Amino acid sequence: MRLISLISLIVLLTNCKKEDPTVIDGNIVISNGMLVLCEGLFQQNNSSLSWINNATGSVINDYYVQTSGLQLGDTGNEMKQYGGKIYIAMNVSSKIEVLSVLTGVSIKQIPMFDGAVAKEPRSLAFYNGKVYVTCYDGYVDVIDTSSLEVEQRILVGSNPEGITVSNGKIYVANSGGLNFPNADSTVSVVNPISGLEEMKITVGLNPGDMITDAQGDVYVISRGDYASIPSRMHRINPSTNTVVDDFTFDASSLTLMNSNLLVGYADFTSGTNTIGLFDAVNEIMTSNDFVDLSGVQTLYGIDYNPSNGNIYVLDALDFTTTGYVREFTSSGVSLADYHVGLNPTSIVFFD
Amino acid sequence: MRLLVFISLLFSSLAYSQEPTDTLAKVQEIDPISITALALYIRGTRESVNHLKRNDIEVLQAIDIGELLQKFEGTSFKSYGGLGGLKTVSMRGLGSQHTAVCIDGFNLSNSQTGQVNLGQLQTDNVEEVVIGVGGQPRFLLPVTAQIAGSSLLIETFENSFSRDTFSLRSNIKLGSFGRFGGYGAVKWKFGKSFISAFGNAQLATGIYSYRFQNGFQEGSAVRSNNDYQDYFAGATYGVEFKKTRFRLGYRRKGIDQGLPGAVILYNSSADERLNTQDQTVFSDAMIQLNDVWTIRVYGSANKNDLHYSDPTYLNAQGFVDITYANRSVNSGIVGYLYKDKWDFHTGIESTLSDLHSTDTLFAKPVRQHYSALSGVSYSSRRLTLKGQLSTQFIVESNNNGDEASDKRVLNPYFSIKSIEFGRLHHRHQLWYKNSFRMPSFNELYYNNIGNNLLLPERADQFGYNLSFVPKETNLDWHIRVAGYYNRVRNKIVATPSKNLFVWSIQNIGKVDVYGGEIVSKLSYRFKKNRNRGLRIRSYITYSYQRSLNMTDPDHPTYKHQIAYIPEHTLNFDFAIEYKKLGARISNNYVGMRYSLNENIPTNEVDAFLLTDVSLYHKIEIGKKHGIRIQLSVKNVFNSSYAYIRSFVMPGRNYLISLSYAIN
Repeated sequence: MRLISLISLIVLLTNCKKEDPTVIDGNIVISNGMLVLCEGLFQQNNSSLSWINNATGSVINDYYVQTSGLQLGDTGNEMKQYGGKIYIAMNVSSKIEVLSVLTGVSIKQIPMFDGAVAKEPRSLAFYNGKVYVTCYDGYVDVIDTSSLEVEQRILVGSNPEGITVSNGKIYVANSGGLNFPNADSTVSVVNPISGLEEMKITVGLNPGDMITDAQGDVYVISRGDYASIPSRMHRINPSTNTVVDDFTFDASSLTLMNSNLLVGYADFTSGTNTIGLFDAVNEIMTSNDFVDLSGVQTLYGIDYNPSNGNIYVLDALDFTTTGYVREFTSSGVSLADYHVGLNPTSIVFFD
Repeated sequence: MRLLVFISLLFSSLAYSQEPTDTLAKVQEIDPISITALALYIRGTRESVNHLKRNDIEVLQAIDIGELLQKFEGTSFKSYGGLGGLKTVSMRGLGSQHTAVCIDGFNLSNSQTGQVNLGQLQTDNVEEVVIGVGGQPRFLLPVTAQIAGSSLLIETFENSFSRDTFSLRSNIKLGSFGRFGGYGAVKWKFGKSFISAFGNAQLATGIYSYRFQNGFQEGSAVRSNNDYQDYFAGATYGVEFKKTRFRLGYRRKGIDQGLPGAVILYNSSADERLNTQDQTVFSDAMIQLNDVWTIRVYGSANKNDLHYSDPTYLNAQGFVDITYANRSVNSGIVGYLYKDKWDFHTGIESTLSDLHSTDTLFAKPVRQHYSALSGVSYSSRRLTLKGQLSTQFIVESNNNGDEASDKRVLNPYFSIKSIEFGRLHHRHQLWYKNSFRMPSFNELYYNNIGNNLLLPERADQFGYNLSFVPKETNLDWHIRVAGYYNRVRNKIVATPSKNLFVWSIQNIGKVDVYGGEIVSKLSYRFKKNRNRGLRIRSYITYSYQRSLNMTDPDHPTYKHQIAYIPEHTLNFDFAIEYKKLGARISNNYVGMRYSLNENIPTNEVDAFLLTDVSLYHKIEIGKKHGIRIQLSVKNVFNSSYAYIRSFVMPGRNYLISLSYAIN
């Protein structure tokens, strides 16, 4: 009998779960804060959302679980708002998560599969009531924002990453990353009306992040080979669809700040991070080291909130330890740090 | 109890069998000194080792060696899946690469990964499994096994000398997940020689449904792309003279399996495959040179071919298809001298290994690894002192890129033991061992990730054991208590670098490990005759382990428990045997672990208790023939568990086996 009691004791210990988690009422309208997408780690199913309350500075990690009762999934790559909805490209889980912008609560999960093969969505752009999603299988998927269904697949180059819209066209960075070292070097120009790729522009090895400035100029980063070929920014003129500038400074990410670009660069060999201020009107770097990043270990993302003019730096630390959102003024002075989930990657701001 | 009675009614009409001959046990019962020339087992330090024998192995119905090793104290077991899945064991907080694996006295190594996949070692032919921590139980082992941080020794049926002219082992198995397997081995003795041959094949669909926690909800799904088929085969010739023993053998295995991968929420696609072909030839000679000297000369050659394919990879070709060929040749000589209260052992060994891949980016490394050791020990009736010094020299070259630098290492070992006789026969042992492990070819050279500047990972182990044997009639009880402190420096750690998909390997870790273990192995017979009346046996191991990250005091994970090392592990086995019937309940509790080095709630991997039950009946026909039928229910409580986050293990499952043995 002693055996039985020992076993039941162990069963009891095993089943003794953590205290009941707090559940957030999904009907509460959220405001004055930030929703932060934390990528998590590959195969850990631990992508998460953190909610930062601007008034109190308090942080709720695992916001998604607490509002939906489910896990967000594996490797959330990008989160963006368009109209009344927030879209999250879940790369390894291969789905698009759609949230309400009022409550931050999940509305729908759109599975992204071609038959049994995962499409692996990466980045998002919006145009004319549609969501354009780069999929690593070489397509841009078009999702209607009211039906939330995939309407069309547009064939582009291999392993597309960044995507942006300008002058009525969709620009897609074809990384070819899975053919490394024979990566791609092109940007596809897609006509959203015909749903066809119209041309390819050669920009540089391994294209990644893309952005459109206030004047409609398209910028793309070619990330090189992480060795001898450096990571560089290029400017495309959307009227001629030609590369008009190849810049010579180091660049790995792009964020729009009014008429400027915040050009992030993380050098993994030396461990140094910089954010440069690029004047997108005069096309010149005005400050190479605009934000004091001495407290940042791994620059993993930059966001700018036009409402309060603050810059937010996403610090992934060593990628296996939960990261920080670090807040700076528009002139780059440190304001506050928020401890969030694992590998923070994008922010949606709530006024 | 009612179930047991029911089973006994079913089989009461059948005759009872003797226990299968345990060759090893026979050898060990003989006075060690008189068979110096013939045995690997000389003046063994049994109190510092743990072992499982054929009877236990049969009852436990472990699907492979990996599962068996969970039963040992101080082990942290990692499993990425069921049949054929990657399984590794970390001993006392040292990585699995610190453990040398030997089958029948021959090294098993894989310089590509640096570790042996214990999920690919079968148990059907295994007579005994021994773990050596803090000193080697057997002196004529290969040098690398004697100087590694710890060792795992496996003895098989087909490579051991036997006194019987003919012996046979066979079984068939039928289990859940479409599992079906058969094994057969024969051994003939003629004159001074023996010949043995064995074959084994197994297949399984691997399809199982599982439950998992998704947020606050419990989901269920079916594991797919988990099919598995394998075969093992081999033959050995051995000859035994008065002062010499010689063996020559060949074995091979082929495994073809689907890789189910991690359970990814919202994405169940999986279609990667792996094919493994492995061949080994081995030979050794043990020679008693004179009254004091015994030597063993050994050599083996191995070729391991891996073929990995992913038919839906999103690159330009649309698929990945890569093969790797890892070859190694190992040879050495070890010697042992015994005179009065002194013994002396020494040995040299060399291993040459290389790796070729169809992946043109991959390095083409060639490694020459030389090692040598010498040790001396002094034993009086109550005290044994032992010291050993080993040295290793590794020369590396690479025909496709930069190579790692040459390495030279010197490693000492000391042990002091005292024995107290009396009613409570007990022994103390205090020991220190310094060892290291080489970075594997993957760690040094894997495309973009590998780092050819890596240094060997070093380990210092300090251990104390106390074992005692309470003497009482009909009772056989061994109790052992151990405490240890280990330090790991230059720990080889993979960390994401450029982004989450690009990792790099660095020598950045420092780990301090503290732990304690308690083992109790008890058997009690209600009647004197060992196989007649009621017998009970219990086997309990408890391990406590703190494995702390001491790398950087400013890091948030400083002094946090290392990922996947549970603080508490408990095994509790209880067996009851009456005449030829037996039942065994086996419980394995693994405490909460963290999936990453940061000890926060979101990284917690739940504790679990796994309970297996086996019922068996042995039938004896004449003196020599034994039949055994066994039913095992694994994971009786159908608990949802995972060793590794996102690698969900199967729920309740069943296995029926029928075995037949001669001698």
